Amino acid sequence: MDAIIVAQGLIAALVDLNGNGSYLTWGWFSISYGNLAVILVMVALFLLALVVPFPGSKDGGE
Amino acid sequence: MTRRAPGLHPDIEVSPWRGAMRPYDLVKEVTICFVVVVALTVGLAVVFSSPDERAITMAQWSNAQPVDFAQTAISELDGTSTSANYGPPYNHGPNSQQLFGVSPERLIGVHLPLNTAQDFVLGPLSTQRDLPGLAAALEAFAAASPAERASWEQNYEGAITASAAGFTAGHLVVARGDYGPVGTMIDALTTMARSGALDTSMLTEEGFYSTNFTKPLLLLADSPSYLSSIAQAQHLAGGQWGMMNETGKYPGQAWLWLYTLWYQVPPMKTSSNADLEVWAIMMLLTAGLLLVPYIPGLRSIPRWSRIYRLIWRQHYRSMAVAQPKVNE
Amino acid sequence: MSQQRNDDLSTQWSARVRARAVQALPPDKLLPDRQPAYVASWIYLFGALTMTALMVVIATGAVLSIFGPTWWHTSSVGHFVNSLHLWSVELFFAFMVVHLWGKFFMAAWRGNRQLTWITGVVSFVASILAAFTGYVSQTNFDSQWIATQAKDGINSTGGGALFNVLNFGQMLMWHIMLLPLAVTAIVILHVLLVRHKGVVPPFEDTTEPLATSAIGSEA
Repeated sequence: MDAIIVAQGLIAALVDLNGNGSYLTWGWFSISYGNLAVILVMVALFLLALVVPFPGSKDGGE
Repeated sequence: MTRRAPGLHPDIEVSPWRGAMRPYDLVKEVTICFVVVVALTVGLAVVFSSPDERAITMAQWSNAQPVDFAQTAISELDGTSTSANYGPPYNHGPNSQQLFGVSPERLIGVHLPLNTAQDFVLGPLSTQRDLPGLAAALEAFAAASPAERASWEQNYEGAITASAAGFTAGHLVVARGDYGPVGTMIDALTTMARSGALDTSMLTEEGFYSTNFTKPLLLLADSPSYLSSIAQAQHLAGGQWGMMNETGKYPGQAWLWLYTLWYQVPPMKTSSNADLEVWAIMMLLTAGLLLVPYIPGLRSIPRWSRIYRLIWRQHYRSMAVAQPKVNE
Repeated sequence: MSQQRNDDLSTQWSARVRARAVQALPPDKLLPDRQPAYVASWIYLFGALTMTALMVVIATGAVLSIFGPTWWHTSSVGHFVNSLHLWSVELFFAFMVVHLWGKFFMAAWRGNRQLTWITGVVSFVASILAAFTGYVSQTNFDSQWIATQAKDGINSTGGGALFNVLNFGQMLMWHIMLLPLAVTAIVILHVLLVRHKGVVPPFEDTTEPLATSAIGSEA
């Protein structure tokens, strides 16, 4: 557990989400980049799940 | 374009599957999913950690912005604060929300009774009688007529919200005027708050053990600027889509996007009944999602979208290959 | 009391409940080793991902429970467990929403599967409530701000009299007792319904004209 916390401290020096947030604002619309990232990942996962051939299926010329 | 089995409603019914089956190891699938989720969780937690902004206290508030605190205190005493005018479930103030002339909170009534003058000012002050001049001030206030009190309170509210109001040498400074004992009382409450004694008094209101922070949170929220300015800086305010945001750069409750969206558009954006209107919309939409299988049109979107042709592309391919043979 | 004869046992309550349960979910339906050939897409994994993320949410929440609601402010191990809890929740919601999108576009309520869809939506709503009570149980600035903001919405419906978001003790109990029970119970029902009804078959399209339906051109 200690090793994980040390690793976390090292990584936090590079990736620290505690600073001031930044926001994508477009007219009346506003979203934090944190939330935008989560939503984009979800959409990407959905699209990949639809198009990537499933192993064991006869898809994609296997 | 599309033919279907006769008599079947394509968006409701489907014939039982009599086609091919293939081996599928569910336990293996769930186990692999579990391992993947644990790995992702540990990875994300190690890389991104989690936010933890310390809770604020009355002491921090009154030390940072003593005049803002005093303005809040007098508004609690004279009944002009947000909480004093809130209405149910706290009191009979006039500001309850309604939709089509019906106010659900009024129908349910007052269940968490709050008297802002007593709970936020007079009650806490009664525990501090040793402060210089406070005992006499509280007696004078108690002995005064309602008209006298109202006059002192109004005068003091005018003085403490004037730009000349300030804070020096541990005391509030306002222009001279007829405030009766109210100036002493608000100054004493500010002293009490700055020392941390108001936090203690309010947090132990229900006794030594307390897990209910209704009253102290309502007092914090009545501040015209302190709490809200911290939240504004973190993009957490309602008008900033704040409900889905988190402190720092963290993702928040992104799943509240639709709920917070309605607060950004007219008429809810400026409506004094916005909360009730948004809740009504969200309840309707949630009922809609729940009942999608029964709503004509909505339940046909999947068929019209033809995304299913992509999901089941292999099935339709094998059908297309197999079918001509059947017809021969 | 005389001993019941063997042929009377079929009227026993226990025997009847077992018979009904086995009829609804025989072992090879409850835990099948085969699936219809059309179950061949990554989208089918998101239900299992959601369920396993929920397991991680509950496990990390249980660790936080062992040491109490303010442990994570003062212990670096506690803070790490809180991070695990937060990210497993983000994963849980992300997987659940992708699962919902997938099931919507498969019209997975077809063939008497409406209750499966409905229990799924109910567990989504209960999860949102569970997450919300977690946010107001953090005992930090987030909780103060979210509780004082959210009270207005719930109060406007009249619900604030019963469900007081400013009452930390009440919110914590909902978060660690009532809502986890509710979400788990609904999810178990949801999964049993999926097993009972089976995976929804594809729409019964036959492309026309059949002979010219070239392989790979349909999507």
